[in-house]
Amino acid sequence: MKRTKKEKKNKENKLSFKMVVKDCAYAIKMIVGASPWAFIIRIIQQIMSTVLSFIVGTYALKYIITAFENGESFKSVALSALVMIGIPSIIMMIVSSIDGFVQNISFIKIEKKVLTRLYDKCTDVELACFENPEFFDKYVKASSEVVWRMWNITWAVSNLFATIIGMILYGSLLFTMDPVFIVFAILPLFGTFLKKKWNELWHKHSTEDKEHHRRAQYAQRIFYSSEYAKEMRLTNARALLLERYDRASDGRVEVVRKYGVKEMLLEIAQHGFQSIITNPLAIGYAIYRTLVTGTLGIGDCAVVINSVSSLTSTFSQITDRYYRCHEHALFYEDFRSFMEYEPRMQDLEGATSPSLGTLRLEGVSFKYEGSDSYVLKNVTLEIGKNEKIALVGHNGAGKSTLIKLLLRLYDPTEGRITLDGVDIRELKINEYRDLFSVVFQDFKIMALPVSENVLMRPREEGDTERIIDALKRAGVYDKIMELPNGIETLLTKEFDEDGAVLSVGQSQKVAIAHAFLKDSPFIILDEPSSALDPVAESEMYNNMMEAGENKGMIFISHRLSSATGADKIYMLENGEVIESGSHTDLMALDGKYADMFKKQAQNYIDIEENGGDA
Amino acid sequence: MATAKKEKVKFSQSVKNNAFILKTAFQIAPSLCIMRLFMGVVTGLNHGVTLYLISEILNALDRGDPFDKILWIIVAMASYMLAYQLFYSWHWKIYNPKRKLNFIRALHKRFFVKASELDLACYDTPEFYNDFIYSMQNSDKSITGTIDMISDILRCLVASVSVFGVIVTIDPVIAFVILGFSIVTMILDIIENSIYYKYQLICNVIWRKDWYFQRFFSLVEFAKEIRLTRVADNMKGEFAKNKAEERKITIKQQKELLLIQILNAILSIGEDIFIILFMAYHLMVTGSILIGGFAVAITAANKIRHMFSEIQWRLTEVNKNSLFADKVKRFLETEGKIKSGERELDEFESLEFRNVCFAYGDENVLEGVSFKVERGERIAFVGYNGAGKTTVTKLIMRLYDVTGGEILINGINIKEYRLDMLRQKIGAVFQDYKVFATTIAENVLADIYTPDKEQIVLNALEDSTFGEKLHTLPNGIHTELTREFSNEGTELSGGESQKIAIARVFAHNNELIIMDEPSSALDPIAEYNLNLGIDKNAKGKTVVFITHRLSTTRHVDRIYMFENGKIIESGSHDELINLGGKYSSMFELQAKKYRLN
Repeated sequence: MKRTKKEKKNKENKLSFKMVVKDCAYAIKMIVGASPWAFIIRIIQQIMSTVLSFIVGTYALKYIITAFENGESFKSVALSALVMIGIPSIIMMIVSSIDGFVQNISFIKIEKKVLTRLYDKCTDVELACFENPEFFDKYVKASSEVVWRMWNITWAVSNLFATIIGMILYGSLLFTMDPVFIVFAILPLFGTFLKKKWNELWHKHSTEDKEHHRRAQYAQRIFYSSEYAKEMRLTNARALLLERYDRASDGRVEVVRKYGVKEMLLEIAQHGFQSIITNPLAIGYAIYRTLVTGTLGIGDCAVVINSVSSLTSTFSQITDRYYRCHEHALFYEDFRSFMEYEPRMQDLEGATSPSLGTLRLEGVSFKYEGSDSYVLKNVTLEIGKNEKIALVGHNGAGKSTLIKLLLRLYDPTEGRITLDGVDIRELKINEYRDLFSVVFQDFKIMALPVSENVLMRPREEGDTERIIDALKRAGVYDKIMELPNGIETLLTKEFDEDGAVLSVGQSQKVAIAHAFLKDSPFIILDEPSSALDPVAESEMYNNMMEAGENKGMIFISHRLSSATGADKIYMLENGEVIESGSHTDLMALDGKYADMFKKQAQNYIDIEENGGDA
Repeated sequence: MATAKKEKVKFSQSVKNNAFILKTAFQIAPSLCIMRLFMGVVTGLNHGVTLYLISEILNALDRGDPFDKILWIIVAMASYMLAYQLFYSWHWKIYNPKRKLNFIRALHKRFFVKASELDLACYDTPEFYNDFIYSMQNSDKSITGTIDMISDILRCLVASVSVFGVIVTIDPVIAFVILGFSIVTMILDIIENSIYYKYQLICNVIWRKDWYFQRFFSLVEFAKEIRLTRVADNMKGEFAKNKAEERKITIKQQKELLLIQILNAILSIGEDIFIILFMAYHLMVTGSILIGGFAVAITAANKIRHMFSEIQWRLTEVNKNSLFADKVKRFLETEGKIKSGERELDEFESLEFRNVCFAYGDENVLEGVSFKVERGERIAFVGYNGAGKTTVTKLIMRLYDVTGGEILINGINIKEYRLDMLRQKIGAVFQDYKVFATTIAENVLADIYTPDKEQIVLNALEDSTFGEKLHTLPNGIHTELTREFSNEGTELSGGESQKIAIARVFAHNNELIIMDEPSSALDPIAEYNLNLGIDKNAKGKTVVFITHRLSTTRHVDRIYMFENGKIIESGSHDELINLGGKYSSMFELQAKKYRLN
């Protein structure tokens, strides 16, 4: 077990050459597929730029010096040089202008296409993916990095091509002068090898550092967080966190100490091969050929001295670009696996539309993937068409999980859920989910206008009346109309500093307005527990009950008082239904429910009996 | 737009701000700063030296110097390169990383202490929070920005000057021509940059939206709604709109940039051609320069052009750095309004509010609140959301100061007491209690754990009814909480976290205990047990409850009913029920559902 984990980790950090090519090809294909121009123009631009600097910096130089030595006239030399430099320069100018334009504009298109695909994917995958940390990390990384990665991989790949061309140009020029110069092109390869070692070392270094850095950043976050501000002032947590921060900082310094010398030596050795030894050797050899053996012209010698560093530096550039590609490839490896992931919650072949009827859980057990313990054990319950049922129990008894199963956000591990006798897995998933309106306790207000927060779908004809009606029924219409733009007021401050922020109670009413508007046959309510004062709470409860009229209704109740009106109450404990029946039944049973109810009620009830404290 | 205006600062002010940061950095880590600047000079000089050595070799060749003499120059070059590399690698791999980490640590600790001494009110003003705290929190890179910038500019200047020096010795005319071209290029770059800057301000809004879409689709919080409704379609619509807007703006920007880019390109072609032809003329016709000079001139021109463009690019950071420096300065100069008094506070005897008023900005939260609590009493604040109950507790702890009236402890205004002593006497469980990513023991103590405190921690946890859960944890009170640092960390439920927060109060043996909705995250049984725990632990202590569950208030000595920042009813439970006012109707609302039978 441990070994496979380690192996996996190793695999994650290193890809074979073949994989790098494959992943980069995947990325480029995606980019080119969205808009081919950006990549093509960039390649041309990069190559032109290399060629031009070869001509201006080296070739024209060699040409003029040779001409000078041969005693040619300045006029003809000047004319040739003008053509030699002028024409590619003008091409380069045109290509660069187009490049600037195309890069910026096609990239918006590329971004849009790729992100749309990504967002589509994310709405398709099942909720479980979001609760799997490994998958989730990959996904968050994918969505936050994909844009700049696309920019950078385009650059890295095109620059890699250009550098290879540069290497060929400089190499062949020197090779035609004297094949021995190739030796000086090969020496830097040892440096490349060291660079690889250096990269590995650096990777170890940053992995170790990351751990400490995370701890330092945690302390930092807490110190500035407004959420922790009270605790920091009233307790001695400051000392605790300062100590943590110091420890983390010491750790980071220790990591530098551990790797610093090795990194320094490797870097020096690498530069040794790439320039410190190679360049003087090449220069010395060229001068030897010129002065001692007299087999190299002085012009050629000058060219060698001037351009040998251009040749040797292409090697370090190529390795550098390759490692960049490698790093991008690592990312695209994850990205690809995410994009190619087949969502598990999809319509089966021959999926049918749901027909209304009784919703039934038959012996349902459930455990989260990778977990050994069951969250729900053999639960059987049913909800008739217009029935109201309440789920009660301790925190963590499995109430919320049961709701998620009902909504097919998860499928049961064992047992099945049926609607009108049909296994819900055989129904069209979107149509099935459309049968429910849900008000979660942790409902979210979106950065959209009030109207769309109520709709939760794109606008259609006649929606305005529906929205107003729903807001009125939820009892929040007057409040909304006080906002600057009425129901079109943008909510949250995400997009606009002037966006409206609703209180928790008002937000919940907007969420309930959605349920009114949707008017689906089933309604699921996760009762808000504590954010509300008794009057608001009672109002909310009545709102919910009204929303659930003439509907099948399931509600999670934290205060037993609100469960009393249900047709049937299911009491859950450790994932099992331990008691069920109407309030009267359960009180008569005198089991756990009755005990819980009495404990909660005693302070309210015994006042009736005019008695003292229990 | 207002921010755009604000971000335009005078250049002289920018320089002043940068100077402030530099001074601060010099105070904390003088050697780091000096070395960093020295490094800039050395790397800059390297360009000139390399070029000089190459031209020396070429000229020696041209002059027909003997091979062994040239060999010495080559040996000198190799040794120089090695020495340079040694110094360079030592600085960047050993010296700088270590010193920089220590520098950042010293600075951050200064900020931390400052941040934790700021008034809580600072956190409530979004401007302050966004402006200061956010930038402090993200200061790792910005903090060394000024020094990096100066060092880099120094590098470019030294490089330009030294390369220029080499060319002047070759041919002064060409040297000044290169200089002229480079200056014009730099001016064009500045224009180009200001266009970029202008569009960046416009695009900020677009990027902010992009960031929201990205979070919308990637956070778990929205995942359920996305699956159960079609709201994702609305968001995708907004996303497409946003991209269309970005496209429009970018096209406009590119059009504006086009002319400058073309001018720039023409200039660079012109420079290349001019230099080559001019040098070729002198080489071939007048013979005033040697091959060596000819060969290095083009390289030199390129270098100077790059350096100039980098200088102007770096100079654009002056503003950014200055903005940051300004924030640091103002952050460090911010003085809390809540000042500690001198007086010692012994035993807690009584707490009294006399006609207390409090306002957040223009909004009155409390108006004329008066009450008195004696040692050992228990009182409860009840009322609607937003009626001001929580504010009362914050005033007691001097997280805020009253705007009118006074608060007395033992008959003396709380402003006269030493702040640390006052806060030590008070233990509070907030509605938005927080758990730290440390061990359970450290969370309970909210301090560094030492073995002699083990029993205190265990007792506190037992009383807050966390004991049962504690037995299931293999590492007991040394269990690391939250998954902040490792996936093996223990994540507590809302109710369990709340129990930790309550244990924190029990462990500190405070004389005045404030419980803000202590049972909100607990299920009925846990709530019942917790109440027993409070009863046992708080014997003889003064307790202030804030609660919506009116069952909790039955046993307290006095209940204060708040409405719109005022106390509208007060008295014992029975008295208030008999009064038949708001409290009684509120109680009735909750109680009636329990009276079915």
